[in-house]
Amino acid sequence: MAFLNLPENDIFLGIEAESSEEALAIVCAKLLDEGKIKEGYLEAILAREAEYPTGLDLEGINVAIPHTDWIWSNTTQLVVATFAKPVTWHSMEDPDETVDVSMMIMSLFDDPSHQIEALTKIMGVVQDQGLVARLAGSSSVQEIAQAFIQREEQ
Amino acid sequence: MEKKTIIVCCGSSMITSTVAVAKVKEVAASIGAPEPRIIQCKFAEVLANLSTHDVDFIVPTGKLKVDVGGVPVIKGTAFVTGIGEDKVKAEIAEALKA
Repeated sequence: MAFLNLPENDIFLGIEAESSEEALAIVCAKLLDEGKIKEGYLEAILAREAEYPTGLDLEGINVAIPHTDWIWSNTTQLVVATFAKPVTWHSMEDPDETVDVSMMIMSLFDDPSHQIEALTKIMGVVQDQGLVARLAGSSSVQEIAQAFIQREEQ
Repeated sequence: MEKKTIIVCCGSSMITSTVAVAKVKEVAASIGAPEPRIIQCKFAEVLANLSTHDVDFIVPTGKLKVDVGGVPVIKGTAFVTGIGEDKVKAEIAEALKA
């Protein structure tokens, strides 16, 4: 598997957001500044979340995995954000339900063939509740970046 | 066991359904069933595929909001979260044997 980057400057710690929309807006504003996404990315991801939300109930510390079509992105990488307090997110399993989300793992890709690689890596993290709990409460971007690298080496 | 036709579907980017396709094939192999014919599509394309194919069951990775006319649905969200994955695999195994 090729290396799927998680740059430390795209790891957001303790974002204060009242909603999933606000959380995505905060993160996307920085990514747009960095030139990693195109104008319109935020609108595209909000529209996709409204129809096909990505909150995952992990029966503990919950995670959301927002993503949208590759055409809106200029690069392929992960972006991680943790929240100061859990953010209400609609559930992927049932959009009428909500889950309280403590961490967001977003994937950007500029080529559709990279999508499965991104998801495989994300799944390796979300299926390990001990790791999710540690990362969601982490105060170190290095620790979070390292965890994703190690996940790949296993 | 007969070869089954299965729709595996997800929201729009074909990410989670790709994972579910691999898992369904894995289940089929583990019980010695013939590899099923899998139609991978977006939720929005499910009805069109149902009208043109004889489908045995559907594995969506989220909630299907359309009326699938009684075709059995086995939710595959567990393939993403890992929560309850064994139960879903058992349900798929049963459906493949049916």
